Amino acid sequence: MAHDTALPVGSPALLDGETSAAKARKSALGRVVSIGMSRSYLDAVSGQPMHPAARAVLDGFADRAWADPELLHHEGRVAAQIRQAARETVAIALNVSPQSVSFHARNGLAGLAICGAIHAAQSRGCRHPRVVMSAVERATVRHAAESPADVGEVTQISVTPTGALRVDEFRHAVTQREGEGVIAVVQAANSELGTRQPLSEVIDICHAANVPMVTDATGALGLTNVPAGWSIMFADALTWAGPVGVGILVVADPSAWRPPVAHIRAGQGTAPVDTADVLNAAGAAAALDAVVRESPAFAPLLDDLVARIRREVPLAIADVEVLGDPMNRLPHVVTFSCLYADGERLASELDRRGVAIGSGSACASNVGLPSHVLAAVGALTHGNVRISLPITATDAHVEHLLTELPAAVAAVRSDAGI
Amino acid sequence: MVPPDAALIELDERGSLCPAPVIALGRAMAARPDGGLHIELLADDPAAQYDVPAWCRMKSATLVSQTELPDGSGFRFEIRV
Repeated sequence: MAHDTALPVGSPALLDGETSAAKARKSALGRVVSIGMSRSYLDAVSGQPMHPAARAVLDGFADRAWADPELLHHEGRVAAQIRQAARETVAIALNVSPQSVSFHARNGLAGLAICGAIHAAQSRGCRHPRVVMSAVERATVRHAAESPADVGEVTQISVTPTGALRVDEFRHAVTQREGEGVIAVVQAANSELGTRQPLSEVIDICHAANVPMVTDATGALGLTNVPAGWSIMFADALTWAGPVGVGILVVADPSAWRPPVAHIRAGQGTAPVDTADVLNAAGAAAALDAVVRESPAFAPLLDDLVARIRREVPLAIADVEVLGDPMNRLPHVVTFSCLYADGERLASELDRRGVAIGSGSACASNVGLPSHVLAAVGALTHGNVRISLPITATDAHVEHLLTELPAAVAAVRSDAGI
Repeated sequence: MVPPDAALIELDERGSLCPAPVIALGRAMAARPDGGLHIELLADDPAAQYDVPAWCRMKSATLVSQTELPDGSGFRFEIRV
């Protein structure tokens, strides 16, 4: 092997049997080590391999979807046609109208959705709309809601010990001080704990109070039913194994969204303008279509695997707390915290043993603060192991985790002297 | 109210990162498995304000009080095991 690496190499043909001249010519990309086949990747909420349907679309359309779809030459019109087909594919998969669907870069998607809703409230004459949101929204969503200069008060609604929004508190916050502009922001499910939010009740409350409701369906869309009735929905395509870096925005109620100032383009109307490129949009649409059709078959399998983890982890390890709602949850997410274990050390120990997991522990995060979600449910913020199964996860992957976990936890605890 | 026979233990974990403060609690508990402990813990890692109550819940210990130190240098926890 030409390179020392801790990772097993799955494709030795990449490097062997080449002349030294050929090796010298190879770019840095050509020297990247591939991922070994013996690994169990269980961190789908941070990314997962693309669905074959998306890969086929990226390959098949790469030589046709590159032109600027806003331009009127033949090449531009072909790209526009592909984009329109992508919109219609998403519309059918989600039972929404094609005009309501737009494709965006993942970065800034939450801001586009929420700032658009704030701007719409302002255009109705409310200068400083209030935002009422759950305390367990993703960090990017919290940031998007708290950062606009002209937003009024941001009210965070507390959650139960399993992470479900407290509906009565939400109702009170939405309906008090009637007449003021309010925007509700509630996720479909919590992708750290797995707990599904009472979205139908939230939607009913918002309808009754005539409050626009923005929902983050990242982690849920395509894998599980997301109740209809929201005003605006957005989701990162990694949820349904789409291409990396793209997401969708669906504006079901056109009056609930206006272009935020930073996004206004010359000649733009009042609907969102796509910021993702056409090829990635098509890939995201194809993956969503495939996953929506396939999830009735694979979601119950993932659900069983998660149920097995929830059942077996407390039997295999002492002083562990499995978090989130055991029943009303996403099919593929479970998180637990191990007392006396350093989350970062535990993640490295499992990685060394071939198992990739996520962690909400402070020491394992890049901000150095404990996960606000773990804090909101009163869980141990250290020793956190967040499992999210990719759509291709199997029994063998979970078996691998359950086999390695006790020794990994014991190693980290014994290093800590306990 | 400290029972007369309870051992008072003071742990100053200021400057150490989580999970060290909770590990210190675990060690104190292991040293006296029959209980009867009254622990005063000082910690300044922000995670301690969540982890110490969670530890108490998991180990059936009583968190008597949790206060912020007046000089802003962390938290003071009073725990009975």
